[in-house]
Amino acid sequence: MPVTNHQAVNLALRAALALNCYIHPVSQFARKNYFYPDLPKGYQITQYAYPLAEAGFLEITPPEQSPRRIRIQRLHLEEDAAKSAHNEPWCEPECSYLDFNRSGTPLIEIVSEPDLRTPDEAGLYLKKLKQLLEYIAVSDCNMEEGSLRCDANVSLRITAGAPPGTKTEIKNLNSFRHLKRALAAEIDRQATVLSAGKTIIPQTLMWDDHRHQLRPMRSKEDAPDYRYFPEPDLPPLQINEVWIAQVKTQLPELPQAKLARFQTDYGLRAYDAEILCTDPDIANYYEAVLLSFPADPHLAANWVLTHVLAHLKAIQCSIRHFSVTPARLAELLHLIHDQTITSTSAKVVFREMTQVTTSATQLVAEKNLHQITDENELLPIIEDIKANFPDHVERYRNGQETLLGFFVGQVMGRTKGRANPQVTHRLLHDQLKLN
Amino acid sequence: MISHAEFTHLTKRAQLELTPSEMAQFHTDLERILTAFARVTEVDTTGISPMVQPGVTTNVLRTDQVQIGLPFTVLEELAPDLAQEHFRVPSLFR
Repeated sequence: MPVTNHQAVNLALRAALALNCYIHPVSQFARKNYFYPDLPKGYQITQYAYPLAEAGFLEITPPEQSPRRIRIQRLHLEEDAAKSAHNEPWCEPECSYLDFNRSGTPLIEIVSEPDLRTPDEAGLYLKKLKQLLEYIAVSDCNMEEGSLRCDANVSLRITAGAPPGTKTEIKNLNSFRHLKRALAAEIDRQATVLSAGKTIIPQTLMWDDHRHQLRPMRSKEDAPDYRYFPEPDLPPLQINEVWIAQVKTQLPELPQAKLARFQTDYGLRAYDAEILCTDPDIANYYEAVLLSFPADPHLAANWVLTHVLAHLKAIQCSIRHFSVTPARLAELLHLIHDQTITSTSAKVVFREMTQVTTSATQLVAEKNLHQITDENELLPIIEDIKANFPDHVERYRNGQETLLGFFVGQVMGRTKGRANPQVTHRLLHDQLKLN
Repeated sequence: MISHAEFTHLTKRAQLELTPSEMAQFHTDLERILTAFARVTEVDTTGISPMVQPGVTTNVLRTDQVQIGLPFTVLEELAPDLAQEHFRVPSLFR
């Protein structure tokens, strides 16, 4: 006999709260009867007339538009069916393959209202939803493994303001790319059918990414009559205020709140804050760096956003497993901030830190990367450069001030990037004018 | 009353293949069932909230604990057709 998993209900409640849903005091499981190979017992345990939660919203901000609420119609619990494979290279034609390992495990289904207008908006909504679910640790949202899946419905209007036309459903889209491609293809198909004066047949489709085409799974005529009825094996769920309050206390800071806080507390630009908050692990890493290096949140953000993320992308590593821990990066940032090293040298040290466990301070000492701020050390170098490039000096004196960059480059080259940029600029500015 | 056409449609929806005598028998049975339910609907239910389940228990829950299922060798024997560690079935596409 089935028994409801307590943790599954807790996680569903967490998602419902994060999506601003109304949680029903009583919800009930139902049997959805259908006969299909992915569900040999002939019915799926789901929720129908009495779902766990309804009437929520998720805010998205399409590019160059104001934030918009996408309404959530309902959020309910159900059991998963088997995973089916048809298009894998190892699949024989005329056969489907079923993996029952996830069959019967709990999942939440989140149904949105028809508020999305373009494939890009649908992608943005799914991205936001994924981010939210990752933040609140309801799912790892690994789309390749099927932890987050998406069915997308499409219906076109003949004219603006007209009621939506007949809809079709594309099942089991398991990546953002598939979602956008499948939606674009289906919008095109429906537009062609409607332009030819024909009607859309309500049907369920599947996206075949190998062939870049939609394949019909079943038309409404073949669609099963689900004959929903209350699940006799599972008693109703009663969710009282105490339970909801308990779940609320476990909710971490949500992405929108974090985004606002990063801008106000750390003075970050919206764009930078947005990228840092995309992934809770990245946001946590950034804040852990600031714990040891609170002096310059901009410098820290700049380093995480550029060097750290670029390196992680190159080596295909998650920030959680990154060998340069927040404390190690903070130490490097201190060295930049107090002008012990230049940003050029810092890049060298950072590269080294990703390979070894040595601290930033030790590496600076070992590689003799201390910044040169002593004018007496820099002046002879500048004199030598002047002697080597008399033509450039002449042109600079005659008003071609953009050549200053050339001279800075020369100094940096000869000091292996160790010359203090401000001191170098000042000295060059003065010395180039002197004979 | 349910017409012959409606009953035939229902059998199709329920994916039932019936002989003519079964058709006649089940058509009669279904009509009797529907008549009985029609009588039930005559009862005045004003002010009575719908009951989803006759039991009085709620929130029967279990802890989130992994339980070991059947070993693969047993499943292998049960499977009518197994390939690539999957159950192989006729294509789900028509």
